[in-house]
Amino acid sequence: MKERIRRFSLLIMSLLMTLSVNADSLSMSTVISSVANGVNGIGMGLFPVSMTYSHGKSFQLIPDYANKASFSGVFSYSLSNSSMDGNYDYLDGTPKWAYSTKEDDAFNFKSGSFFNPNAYMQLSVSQGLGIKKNPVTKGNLLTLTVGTNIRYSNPVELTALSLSPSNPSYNKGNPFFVDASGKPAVPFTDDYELKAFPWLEGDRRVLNSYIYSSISIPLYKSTGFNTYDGASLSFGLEYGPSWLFNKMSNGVVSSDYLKLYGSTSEKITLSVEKQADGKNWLSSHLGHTCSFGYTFGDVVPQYKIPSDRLRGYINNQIWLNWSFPQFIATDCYAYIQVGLNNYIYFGKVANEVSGEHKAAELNSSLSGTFHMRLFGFVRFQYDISYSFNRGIWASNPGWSQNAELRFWVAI
Amino acid sequence: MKRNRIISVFIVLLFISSELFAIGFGFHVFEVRTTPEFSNGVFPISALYQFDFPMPSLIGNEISRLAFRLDSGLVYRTLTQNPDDGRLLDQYPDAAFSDGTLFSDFTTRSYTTHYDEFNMLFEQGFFGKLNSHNDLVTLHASFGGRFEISYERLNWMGSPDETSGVFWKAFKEERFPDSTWVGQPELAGTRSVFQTFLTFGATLDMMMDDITSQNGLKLDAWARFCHPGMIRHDGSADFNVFKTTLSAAYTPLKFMRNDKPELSALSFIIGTDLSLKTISGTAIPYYVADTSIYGVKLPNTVNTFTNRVYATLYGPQLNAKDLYPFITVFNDYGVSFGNVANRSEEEKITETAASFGFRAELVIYNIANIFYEFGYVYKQPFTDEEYPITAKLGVSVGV
Repeated sequence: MKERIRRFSLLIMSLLMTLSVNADSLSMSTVISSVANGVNGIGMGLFPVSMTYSHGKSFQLIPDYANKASFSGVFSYSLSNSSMDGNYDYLDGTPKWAYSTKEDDAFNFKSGSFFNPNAYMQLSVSQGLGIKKNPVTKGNLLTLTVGTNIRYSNPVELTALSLSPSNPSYNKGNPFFVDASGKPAVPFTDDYELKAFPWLEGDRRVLNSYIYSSISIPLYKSTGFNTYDGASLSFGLEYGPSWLFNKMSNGVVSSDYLKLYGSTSEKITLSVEKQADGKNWLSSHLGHTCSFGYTFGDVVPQYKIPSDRLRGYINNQIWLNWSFPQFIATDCYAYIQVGLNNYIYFGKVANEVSGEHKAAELNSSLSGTFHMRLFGFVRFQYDISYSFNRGIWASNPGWSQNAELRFWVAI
Repeated sequence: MKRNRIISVFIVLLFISSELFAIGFGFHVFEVRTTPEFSNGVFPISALYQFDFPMPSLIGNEISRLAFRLDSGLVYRTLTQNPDDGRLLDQYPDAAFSDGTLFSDFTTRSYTTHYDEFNMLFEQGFFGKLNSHNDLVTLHASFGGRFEISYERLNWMGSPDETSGVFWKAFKEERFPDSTWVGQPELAGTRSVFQTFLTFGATLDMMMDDITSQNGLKLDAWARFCHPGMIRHDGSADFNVFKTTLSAAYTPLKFMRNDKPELSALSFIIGTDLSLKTISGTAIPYYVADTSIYGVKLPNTVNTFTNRVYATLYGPQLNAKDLYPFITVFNDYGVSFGNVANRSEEEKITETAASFGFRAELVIYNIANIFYEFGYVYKQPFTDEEYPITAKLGVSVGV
């Protein structure tokens, strides 16, 4: 769960880094996430199973204003598996931890995996405001972004079920949504309403959309070479009401939520040693990030379900970073980062019909990251973490590791 | 959840010289594709893109390019040949498979293929520009590899009516358990293949392409050699293919805007594209043998010829060069001739297909296109039936 969040936040940060490039000519960037082992070995663990690319173009939004606005389109598709979490009652969303052992028989659950190809389009406009009014950067006071995101997903049976029997990835199991004759299996028949998993109802062709707005306030000074000292703040909201392309073909509402979120991050440079030609030799930085948010609404869509289904979060990270020499070019370098992470999840349970259960939990972990990039184009990252406080799900393993390779170009 | 992931690092060999990197990278998205069974063809599920490495011109001012091209995603394919001997299913409707099912009764022919093709490409221009924005002659050479894995269509087992597939007659009941898959070699065995190949090509470009006007000629030819002895090749393909395309266009009318003279107000283009493909080899993969015109797939033969004749009316370029509408009408013609590909015994056929279509499109900053198209197929291979092509209103994204 956590490494998925980390990977996703890396992706979002990468996208944000790209979107902040304002150029007069069309600029493009792409991030291709190559997931080892792919979807049951698809792509030999080398080729991408997902792709995201974005285009940006600047234009004059406010007449005679010195800052141009920038329009950005992000497109992405992913061929990945998903799963149905058996820890939540599929009829009313009650979490398993809310049941006493006496009530185990009343708990409706089903767990399993399925293939979930999905794609989204995101269009947004960003405008810098408050020219030269920023007390720290002396540039824009803040950047306001408004946008919309439309996503399509289609949970279907695992692709491994129809592979060749001589293929080592062939899955000898049974289908998830139907029985061997194709008839819907419980609870995917018409007489069940899956309040906890509305995206698994009906024909499972799910369209979701939301509109969003965010403000980011930079309060940092660049220290050259992709680093800054200071702070940055951002706040935003996402609104995905049922009336905005959020009903499935069978009338089931696939989304009805409002999310408020924010983050602050601070960073200072502890030491810097440069090479004779000005490139970095060895530098170290200390940083802190705090992000927080709360998701309201009766129906939270699959891709916005908060961690452990608790609506609120406050995440705190303190990290130390050592950046190693830039070799050959300024975008060839490596760094190691170690961090202490505390994630607090709290509040009511998302997609629980009664809304009567609340929880608060602390997940703490130590993490290490090794990141290397060659000419900015090939980026390799290895993450390892150890959870020493695992909140509600005490039986989750302590150690986790993840390696990822990305191809990235931004011009 | 604990997940152990082991990954091999993909190291790209690059020219090592610090002066090169002032030139910078380039990136192109050539094609973004959809498939009807995923989001009704609205959201993309595969794409062809290219990264250009920084590269100085090696000869004068002509373009030198070193690039990494990746074509990846999910695509729907149709089984059109009997796996046991390569007979075309539409040519022999009354013949039967080894289990007795008639070819004409086998109607659920779609299956899914996930593919990834990479190419390390080097391109060099010669002789400067003649009536074009590109060099007159461009030669290119590349080394590449292609991975494919095939399985049933996405909706297989979606309901009691969807339990019949290409590979599985019903759940856990194989349709072709003993077939050698001569007719479709990449579906044999594990249905997962990896092939490597060398590709060479040349382009003669005398076409002045200014988005809303095109004048001139362009000739493009390429050849691909794929043999089991090549590095990391798994032996699943053995072919040589040669393809040549001639494009000609003429813009008899073009009016520029009075208020912004660099943008066009109205233009009219007529043109034609002719394409000839020739394949030789004993195991020809689907992606090489497949040829289609608008609305119709041509039978898989070693020689195919296609032709499009079109007339396009471009509306005004609004605000920017890449924001404009256009309407086009076109006629497609195709002929398959020569031996049937992957056929266990020699069989020559000649079949034609023809269709016409209409498309209205609004291009939005080259980020998205909104289009409406419809057409009619008036000649199909093997049958006299004609059919209309369902009208489609859609959005396509990418440059």
